[in-house]
Amino acid sequence: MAEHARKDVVMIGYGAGSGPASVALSQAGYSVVALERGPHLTAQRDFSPSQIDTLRWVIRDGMIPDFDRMPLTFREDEDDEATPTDYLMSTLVGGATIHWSGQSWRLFEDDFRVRSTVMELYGEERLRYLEDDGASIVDWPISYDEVEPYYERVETHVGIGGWPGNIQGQLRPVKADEGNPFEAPRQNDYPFRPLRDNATNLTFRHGALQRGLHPFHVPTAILTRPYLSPYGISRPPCTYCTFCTGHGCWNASKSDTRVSLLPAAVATGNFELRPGCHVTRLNQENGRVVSVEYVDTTSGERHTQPGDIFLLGAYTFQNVRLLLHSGIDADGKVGQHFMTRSQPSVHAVFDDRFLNGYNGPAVQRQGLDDYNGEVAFEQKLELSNDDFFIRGAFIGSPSQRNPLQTYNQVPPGVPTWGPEYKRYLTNYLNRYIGLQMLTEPLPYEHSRIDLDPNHRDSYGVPGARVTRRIGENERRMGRFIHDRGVEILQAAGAARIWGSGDVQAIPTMTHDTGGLRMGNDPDTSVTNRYCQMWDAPNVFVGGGAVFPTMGGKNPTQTIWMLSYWLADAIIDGRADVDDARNHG
Amino acid sequence: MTSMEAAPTGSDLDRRTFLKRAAGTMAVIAVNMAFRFDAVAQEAARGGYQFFTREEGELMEAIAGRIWPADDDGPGAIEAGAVTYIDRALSGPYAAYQQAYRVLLHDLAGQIRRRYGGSVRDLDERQLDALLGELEERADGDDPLAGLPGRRLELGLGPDSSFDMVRTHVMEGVFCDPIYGGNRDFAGWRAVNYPGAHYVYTAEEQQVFEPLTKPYQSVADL
Repeated sequence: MAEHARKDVVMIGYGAGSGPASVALSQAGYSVVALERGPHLTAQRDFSPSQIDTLRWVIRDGMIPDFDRMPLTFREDEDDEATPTDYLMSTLVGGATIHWSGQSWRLFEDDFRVRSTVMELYGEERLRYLEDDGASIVDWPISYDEVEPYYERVETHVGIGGWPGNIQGQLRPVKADEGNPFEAPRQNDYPFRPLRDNATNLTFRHGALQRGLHPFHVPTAILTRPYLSPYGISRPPCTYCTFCTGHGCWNASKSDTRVSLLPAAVATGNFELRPGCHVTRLNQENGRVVSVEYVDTTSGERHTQPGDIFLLGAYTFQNVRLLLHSGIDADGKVGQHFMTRSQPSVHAVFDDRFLNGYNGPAVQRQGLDDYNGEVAFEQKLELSNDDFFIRGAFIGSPSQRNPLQTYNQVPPGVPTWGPEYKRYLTNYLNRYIGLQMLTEPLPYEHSRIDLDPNHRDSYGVPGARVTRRIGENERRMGRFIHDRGVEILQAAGAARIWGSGDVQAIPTMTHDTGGLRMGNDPDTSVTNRYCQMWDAPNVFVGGGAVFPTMGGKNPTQTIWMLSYWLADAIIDGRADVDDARNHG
Repeated sequence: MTSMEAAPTGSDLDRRTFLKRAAGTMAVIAVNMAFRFDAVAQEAARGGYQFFTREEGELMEAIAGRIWPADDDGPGAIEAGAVTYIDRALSGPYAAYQQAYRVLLHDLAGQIRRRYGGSVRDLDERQLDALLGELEERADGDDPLAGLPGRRLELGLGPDSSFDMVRTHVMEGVFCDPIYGGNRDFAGWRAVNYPGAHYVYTAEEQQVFEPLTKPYQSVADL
């Protein structure tokens, strides 16, 4: 077994959870190594022009590990045997930000204090059904005001553009009809504007305005002008090629951990990236993690990497199973309160127009937050007890509707093969719109990740097993949000609308969060406010596993933000790596 | 229910308009049927497949031609080379499904022999559709896919059924980039007016509410 020289910081996985910290720590003089189990693919060598191929990257999952490298199983009930399910997150340098869509934003202020907010608005009586269901909603141990500068650092340093909806309390200060008026107040404007609108966006926007709602173009982690980041990294603007979600960007216009952050870490001379290294165990001595074991996936050789501080920067399922496999379970709390996105569906076609939805990256998108968080609380107060729910969803209109990704979208009553099917697609494929509805699932006591006793990966580590079922709040929210989506598309003039308010319990590989909850109380959380493990103070968690609640928004910007946040806490000593209880 | 009238899409328009005016719908279908069996004979005659035998190839083409048929809107899955796509995929990335196809096609050929006393060449469209419809309806236990080896099948991560597998692969063969052997001469993309592999869309192209005209392009053309 090869043993490497000790590093100040050892990162397990190089994605959104570790990227910002890799820059901040190496710039502060820490020696840092990142062990990434996937390969290092680059824009020019690997994505140009091969990116322009839906079959290779999306249909055949070009970057996704197979089951034997990442076993994931699912069951709804403790008594069931879990069955294998697909893992759909890429394994490579930069992680899922390489193939993400780039819809990027801050959480609401009240996302950081969900429990307090709903208690204040609705009172204990109305919320009793949540308790009966085992919902474990809490406040975060940090506030929006504390992390606002860190959100801004992500926008400027990683590269995220948008229309501001609220600068220091002033609504829509730059453009009267653009920007999200419900966003949390920001101190400063975005560094550049989001993508332009296309026919799909404009159609959705029209419907939303007809309904009296507040549509805006979503903020995008895709450049719309040549951009020189504060790290001195220069990248070109998007060409709207449309081969975006599921693909790596050939043009390096999509902001991701690899193009936006990695070069800045490398430039310090203190950072080493080691791809093709699959970490299998955290080794402990006297209650402290001292090294990690990993397999070189090319040679099969086993290595040991000692370090002082360890950052778990892999995806939620890996971080949890690595801890459990290493015997770190925080008295059973590791893996609890798992959340995953479960979306209702609304589809429509138009007779009076073509949308040509295939053109444009998926995140070329108008959307609205009128039903997200507690923005619609007055409307919710009017709901009957059987329909009432807390939290909500972002609703938006994605693009990237090419034939290979859209041929299954046919309304009920239309056959899925044969002459009538062909006639339908020929007429309607380019008249199709399908909504995204980021309904916010709640955390539950009974929703968790543990080790699967029946499946191990190729290196002998047990797979991740998810136990989860849908709660009453998810069912009610699904129906409500579905109906609002239908109203918007009716108002937009759709000829035919179909879909379902039903939501599924199975991990969707979209925003899998929770499991290593952050909190103020070591008895009810796994990490403290700096993502530092109470029981293993030199171990930090980068990634969505620390989220106490999820928000009705994509989590990546918050993951990047927390990575800067925890790194600064290490550097300035607010996080004491000898005692997680002793923090500033 | 909205109108199902054919909308002209892209550069296929001229040919379709011509065919409609010249011959009328029924005649066009007859032309396409004849073309289909020519294609079968040609493909098999030159030993075009790497995995499928001649008989399997004919059966696969008949199935593909019913899932995405040639009609007065243009060519179907056969002409698009969807079976060539599947044949190549089975010799490479989809090798895990080789046995599933072999077992399924053997099963279907047996049914055709027993019920109609011949090969797929003797069936008309109605009989083919009935055969496919029954395959689609088959219960889990009767599906030839059930119990086959193969890692993804064993894990339950493969296709839901034989029909699901075949339909998915046929549609991939219709809409994939031509470098994979399907979507020949952009037949699949022309049907839905999808221009394929392009690096750039301009604001003008993105903000029209009419069909977009852009040259059909493969990633090999970039």
